[in-house]
Amino acid sequence: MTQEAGRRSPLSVAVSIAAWFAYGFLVLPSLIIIPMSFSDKDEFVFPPQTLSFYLYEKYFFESNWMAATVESLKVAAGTTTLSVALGVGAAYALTRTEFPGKKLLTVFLLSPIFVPVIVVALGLYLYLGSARLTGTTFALVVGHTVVTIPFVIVTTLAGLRHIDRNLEVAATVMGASKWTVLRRVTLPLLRPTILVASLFSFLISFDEVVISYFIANVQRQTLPVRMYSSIHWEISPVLAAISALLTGLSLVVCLFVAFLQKGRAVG
Amino acid sequence: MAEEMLRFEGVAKRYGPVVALNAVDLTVRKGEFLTLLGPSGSGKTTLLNVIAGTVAPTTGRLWIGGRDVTDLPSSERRLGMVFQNYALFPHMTIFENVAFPLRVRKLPWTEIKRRVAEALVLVRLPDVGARKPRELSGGQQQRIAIARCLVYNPDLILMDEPLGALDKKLRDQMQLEIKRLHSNLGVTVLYVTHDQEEALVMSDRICLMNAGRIEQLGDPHELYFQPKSMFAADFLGDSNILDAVREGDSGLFRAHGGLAVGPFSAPGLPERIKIMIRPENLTTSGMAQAIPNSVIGVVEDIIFIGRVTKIRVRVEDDVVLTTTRLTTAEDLSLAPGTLVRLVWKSASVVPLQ
Repeated sequence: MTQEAGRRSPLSVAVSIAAWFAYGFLVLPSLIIIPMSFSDKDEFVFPPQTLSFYLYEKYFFESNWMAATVESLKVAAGTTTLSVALGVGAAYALTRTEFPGKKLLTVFLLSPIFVPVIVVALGLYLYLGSARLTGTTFALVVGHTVVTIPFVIVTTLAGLRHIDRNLEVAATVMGASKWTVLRRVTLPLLRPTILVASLFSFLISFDEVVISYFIANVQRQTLPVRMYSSIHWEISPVLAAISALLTGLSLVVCLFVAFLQKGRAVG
Repeated sequence: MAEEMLRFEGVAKRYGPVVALNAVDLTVRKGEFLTLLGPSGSGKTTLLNVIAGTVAPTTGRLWIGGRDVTDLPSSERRLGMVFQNYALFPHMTIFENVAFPLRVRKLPWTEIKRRVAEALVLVRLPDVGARKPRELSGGQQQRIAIARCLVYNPDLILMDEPLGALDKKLRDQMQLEIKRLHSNLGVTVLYVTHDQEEALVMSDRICLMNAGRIEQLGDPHELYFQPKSMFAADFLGDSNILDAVREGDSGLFRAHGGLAVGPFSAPGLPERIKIMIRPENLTTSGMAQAIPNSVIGVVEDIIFIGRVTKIRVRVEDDVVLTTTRLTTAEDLSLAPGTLVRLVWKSASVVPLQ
């Protein structure tokens, strides 16, 4: 406190300035995209000469962009559903039951976090390829779920730790079956946690490139894969519009989650 | 003798080498208010958890309402439970909280509404049904938790230090409130506390626990005035405890400090025992004439605790007796160093085993 209010050492000032430079260097490219997205030319222009929604129109009305977006939405929705169903169930089992090998299973379930994504992608490609599933929405959902499930489990474990065990004991003593306790007490109390886990799963899946690039094919591409291919072949400035939209989406989700956390802290 | 509601036979719980509960036998009668009293680690909470079904006993069996429930899950034991932190469901309204056990039992909606309303009237909070638990004070939340137990008539209500989170004044009020509900409704209550005063105020019988065993079981009066052990004498209320040695064959003992005590009617007392006198059973008297059952000492200090005054009197180099009495104006004139005579009735001296 006194450190903040009083004089600061030259070293701490220097560190602060360096940090702000690094931060600016990292964030600036994302921000430059936004003014560029309002250009009316078929090439990247900075700064834009006139402001227009030309690039946004192209994105919304060119069928191949929309097809990729719809595919991404489908995959993200599927991934969210699957990873929340499996992840919340796994976290519940890990905290509320005792069985041999529990620690080992926990490490195994969280392992996709530690394995490089490219390795996971390659593994999935070989596995799903031999099952002749590559290029399907199902394969993309499965691939993304591998990555999102650890996040769901970690979030839910934290959420479950916040729930007073006596509430579940109380419900059980009052005659409720395990299933009723889960449905009427645990899950409702876990709702904010599940919402946060869902939003992050959705976002992770919607942004995912590496695994999708391995599993998708030309006919069925997700939006990030389509964008990546477009950089290679046409360098369309529509990318700027899409990037601006994606940044906006991430921002909205993160603000919403922050709002939820705050609400929970107060409640 | 009334019908029994809870019976333990040789119930023990070990965690590895640690014995949390040591072969407990206990019977609670229907309609009784029985308190498990003891310091932390005495096994009272383990015993409660064994009844609730959250802890499985290592050996022994227990019956609730005549049914062997040892192997039944908590949900089928027909119990009610009140927790120290209330354990009301924060996402439900008060009405939904109290209705929960009835909904689990799939009662018709009109009956649920009627019984919840009745339960809320019983705990004198008829108008809070639409509110959420966090909108109520601690005392009100605990009343709701009690209503949630009463509403479905469980065989046995377990209360785990339910007043531990409340301040002194509210606690006194709630003690009487719970007592009132108990005597009006005739429910069977097993109450856990470490507060000896609370146990004395509320209980029909107290089960004093120590180190995983039952130290003594009896009504409050018995536990207070006829403690059987050092532990019991020391845990409930203040006490003067002295070593005593048998003197002759008449059953008389002489305590350290020169007090002649006895004869005791308790059979089979050993050569050397400990005796206890409650401070309120020692009175001071003038020095004028010699009285039997008395001893002379020097006032060491006078401690004013409001309603009562505590006087410590040194009767021997290493023996200090404490006496308490209702505070009077003249206590202020009593100074340390004054010689006083302490007098007691021979019946108020209790031999400990």
